[in-house]
Amino acid sequence: MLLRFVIKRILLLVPILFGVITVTFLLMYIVPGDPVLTMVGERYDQQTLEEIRHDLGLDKPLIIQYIDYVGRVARFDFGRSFITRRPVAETIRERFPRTLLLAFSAMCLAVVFGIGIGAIAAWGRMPWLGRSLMTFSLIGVSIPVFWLGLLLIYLFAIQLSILPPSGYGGGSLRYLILPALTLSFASMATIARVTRAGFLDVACEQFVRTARAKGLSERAVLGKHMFRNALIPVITIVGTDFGSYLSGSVLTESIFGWPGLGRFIVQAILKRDFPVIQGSVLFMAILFVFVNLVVDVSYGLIDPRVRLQGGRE
Amino acid sequence: MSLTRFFVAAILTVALAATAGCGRREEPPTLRLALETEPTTLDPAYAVDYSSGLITSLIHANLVRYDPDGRIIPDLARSWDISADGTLYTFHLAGSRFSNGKALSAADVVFTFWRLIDPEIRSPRWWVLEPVAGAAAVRRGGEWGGLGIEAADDSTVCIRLERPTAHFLSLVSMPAAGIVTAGEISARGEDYGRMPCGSGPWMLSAWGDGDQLLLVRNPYFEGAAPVLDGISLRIIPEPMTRIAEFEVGNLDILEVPRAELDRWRSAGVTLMHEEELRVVYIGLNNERPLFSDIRVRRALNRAIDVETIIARVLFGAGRRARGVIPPGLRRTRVPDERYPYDPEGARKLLAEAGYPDGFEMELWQRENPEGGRVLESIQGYLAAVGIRAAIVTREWSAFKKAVEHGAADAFYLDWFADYPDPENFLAPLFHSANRGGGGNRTGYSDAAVDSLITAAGLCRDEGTRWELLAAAEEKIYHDAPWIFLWFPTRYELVSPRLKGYRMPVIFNGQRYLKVAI
Amino acid sequence: MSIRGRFVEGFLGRGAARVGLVLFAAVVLCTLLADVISSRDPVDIDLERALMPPSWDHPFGTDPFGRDVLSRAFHGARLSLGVGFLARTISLMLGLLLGVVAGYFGGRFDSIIMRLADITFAFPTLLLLIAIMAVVSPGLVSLFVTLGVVGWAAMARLVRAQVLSIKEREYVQAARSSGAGHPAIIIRHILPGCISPVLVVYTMGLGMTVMAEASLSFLGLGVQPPDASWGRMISSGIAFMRTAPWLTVFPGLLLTITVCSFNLIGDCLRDALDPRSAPGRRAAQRWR
Repeated sequence: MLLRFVIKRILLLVPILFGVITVTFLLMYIVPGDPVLTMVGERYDQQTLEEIRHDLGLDKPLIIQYIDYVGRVARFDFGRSFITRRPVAETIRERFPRTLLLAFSAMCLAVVFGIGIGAIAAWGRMPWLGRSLMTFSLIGVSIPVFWLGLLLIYLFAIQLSILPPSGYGGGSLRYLILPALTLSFASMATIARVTRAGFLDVACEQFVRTARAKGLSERAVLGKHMFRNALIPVITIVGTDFGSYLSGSVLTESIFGWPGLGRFIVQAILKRDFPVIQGSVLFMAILFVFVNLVVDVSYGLIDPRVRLQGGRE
Repeated sequence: MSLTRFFVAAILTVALAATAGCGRREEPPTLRLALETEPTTLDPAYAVDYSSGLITSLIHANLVRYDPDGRIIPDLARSWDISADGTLYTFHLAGSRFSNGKALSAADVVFTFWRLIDPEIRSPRWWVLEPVAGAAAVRRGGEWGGLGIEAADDSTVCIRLERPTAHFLSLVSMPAAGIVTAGEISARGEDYGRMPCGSGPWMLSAWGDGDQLLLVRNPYFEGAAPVLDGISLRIIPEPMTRIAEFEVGNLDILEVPRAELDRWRSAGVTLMHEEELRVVYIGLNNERPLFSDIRVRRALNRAIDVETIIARVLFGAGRRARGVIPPGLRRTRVPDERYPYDPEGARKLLAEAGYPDGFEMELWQRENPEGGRVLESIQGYLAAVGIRAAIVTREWSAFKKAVEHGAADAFYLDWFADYPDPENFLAPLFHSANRGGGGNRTGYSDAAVDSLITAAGLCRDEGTRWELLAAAEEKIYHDAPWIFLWFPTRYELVSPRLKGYRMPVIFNGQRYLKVAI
Repeated sequence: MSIRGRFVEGFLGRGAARVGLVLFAAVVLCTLLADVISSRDPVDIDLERALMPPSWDHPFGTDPFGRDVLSRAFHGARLSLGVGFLARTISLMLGLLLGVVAGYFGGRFDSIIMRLADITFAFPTLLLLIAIMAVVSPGLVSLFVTLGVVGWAAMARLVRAQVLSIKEREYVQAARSSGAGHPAIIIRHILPGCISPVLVVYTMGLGMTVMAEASLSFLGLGVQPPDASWGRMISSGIAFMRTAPWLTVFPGLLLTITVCSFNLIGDCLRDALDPRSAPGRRAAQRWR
């Protein structure tokens, strides 16, 4: 059952990726601008321009270029960047782990704080604390991220000087904290909200009342039954948001000088670096579908009541 | 509760993995700089952007180079002779080594220059050697036989020019003419741009994509070795983040954004400044009927209060441009003020030209927040004389394409010196032969200016040459193909721990040899 | 009690909903009264008055060109809110149309539309945006269109799921067997059933769209000068964050308050309309 579901979803990848490739390809040629103009710099002669364009195959008819490209993708050849002449696959390999690190840490922070805040709010013993924490997380998601990021830099790096303002620092934890925190605010409020709602809903459900009636301790009720059931909507959020974190958190990366995929792709788009754009868009699409698959499978694992179906919904 | 356990375990793993690299080591004395954009390649033949050119010229040495004051000094060539007619240059090499230990010979120079011109290489910067005899022919696919570059012996290079070219030494100092060695070029192939090997004072030791570049001393460097062990160049795109890094002491030198100037002027730190070899202007599309009328072009020049913009919007970091030659390169008289701020006069000129109610135009700019801020003030001044200018923002390549194809009415742009010579501000920007990609994006074409610039190039006497160029400038200022704006001033913060640093006049004039901590 | 009465009570009974509505009303009021509150022209440049800190004359200070920040911020509200509402409405229309078609007719329509939705989800929004902007030329219109187009997939998926469940209900089956045509069934039975989830997603998305406008402005892709949206004001004020913080603080606060109010209203709507609904999948790009 599970295996069939997974295989079916992986087969679905093919039309999606095909669509993504085609749309990317068309867009790149609709958009004005020319990678060759970036390659030749401020002062150049027409002959060189034409020759480079020819070398890159940009003077061929669109359909031929498209067939060439699909052929190369089928052989897993993503080519080299027009601008840096570096293999696209190599750059993605270098940058993706950093994006993953940032996304994963941000998601962990969001889940820990979000569930914590949601649980405190649902608990109801300290309503003022629950309410202020919920408000705090709500404000966090409502502040423009670049503003938030710079405020955090100002506070923690300049005023308190306990954390470095920016950079990757070879993956060291000190460098990770601020960008991960900034990014985590995107999901924290939503997770807190659904956790609270989930706890409140589940508390009324028959099986929790039964568990209480059976004399299980409050802690066991909370842990075993409520937590598990309240977790499903959280997983949904983690899944979708994690997918979008992975496709690069452009603004967070810019502010914190984090050398991940997001900025890399934006730069490539602005410079019309076709091989990089196509390679990375394809990579992200695969990633996105994969993350969704993991989310769907995890529903089934957490709550056996959820039946896996062939389609997406 | 397997999921909680999973999350706790995951967080711990990340924390442990992260703290593993956290120990503070004693770092060797390194100069810490910031880059706004990542270099694209360190191969001299393909380096066209600012970051790439800067770093390429730290790694590769040239025959001659510029000192921080903008004077030509020996680099790989200890001396050179120029024939009486100005067409034969003989360079005597000092005897240097590449960072792989191999000795640099005249053959390497010949290889480098041939490579630059080689049509197969497709270097966009081959024009650096365009004055060399036969170079243009070779580039167009002609015979190699006529090319005027040869090694007389192991340490002598002779270069024959097509015609006398007064600024030839300046051309040879450009990053594109940095000397490479055949062995490394063929061994590295397409990866040379990320694994360069030159004979300059520094060599590349690491390049973390999007993160930072590390340069270390080239152990085989023949001249006085750099005082410091290395240079780290961190890529920090966001200006406010760069400022923060400087404030916490993680950077040694930092260009100050204009918005922060007043704060740092009163902060009691070392704030150096230097007038840049750069001109900021609004190019008018001279081929449009609208701007083919000199009265309209002059009206635009009179409509804008450049002095006030400099004082208020640039916080004083610039000087009003009367003409096109930056103050640092001027040895002749500054042209008389022709276009004082005079909105009434501007209206009158517009009315004479048949636009009593002004007109609508598009004002293009490349994507750049600082540019946007400046243009809004210009938009306001134009509106005051009835010209409704819509600002159109595009990223670089789309902007360039539109401007070069004459699709923009007017465009806001600047021009950086490739080398410190007024020729570099006149020939590319105003000679009609350079229309389009060559640098003349306004379509300005004037026979007198063309012949003055050409004559200056051929001229053997420096004094006369500067006079000729000044005359061309005078005519251009008179014709107003641009709205002449300003020459910017660059401000740099320098960390108190740094000694021996001077701001260079030209970007590749500082190699950080004498900088100490 | 009528359904409507229950909903109104369920919604307005929540403190958060009241707070959200009051905040939103305040912002709308400022927008409508922009010209009354501040008589200053938001685009009038006066370099002599540049960068003046807040004072009685200029309660929010002035910007680097001497323009009144208060007046710009309130006028900017029109743009920011306008972009938000228009873009969401475009998403809504597209999503409703395609979602109903996919869900109601099923079969080939369904699979084509849903694969298109998958592709939209998997595609980097920024690329789409730059492409659309390049064709339409950057500015307000392309911002509406793009943010609107990008949001259709989430909406369509939600509508489709809703339609699928409604379609099988008895009264729909009954209507069909009594010979009602497709248009009649869709209008009388299917669409009303979609309203509440769609309303929730619409409101929740408003905050995100207004925020997206700000983020795009930061990347230089927002509205063109001299127009002022909050996003543009904040992003061009960032350089002055240390020297003239009023440039970012006031539009930033307005933006935050607005987004907060949308989120509060959306949350409460959801709770009031369907307390048990899990959050639907949202648009892929979070603009972070």
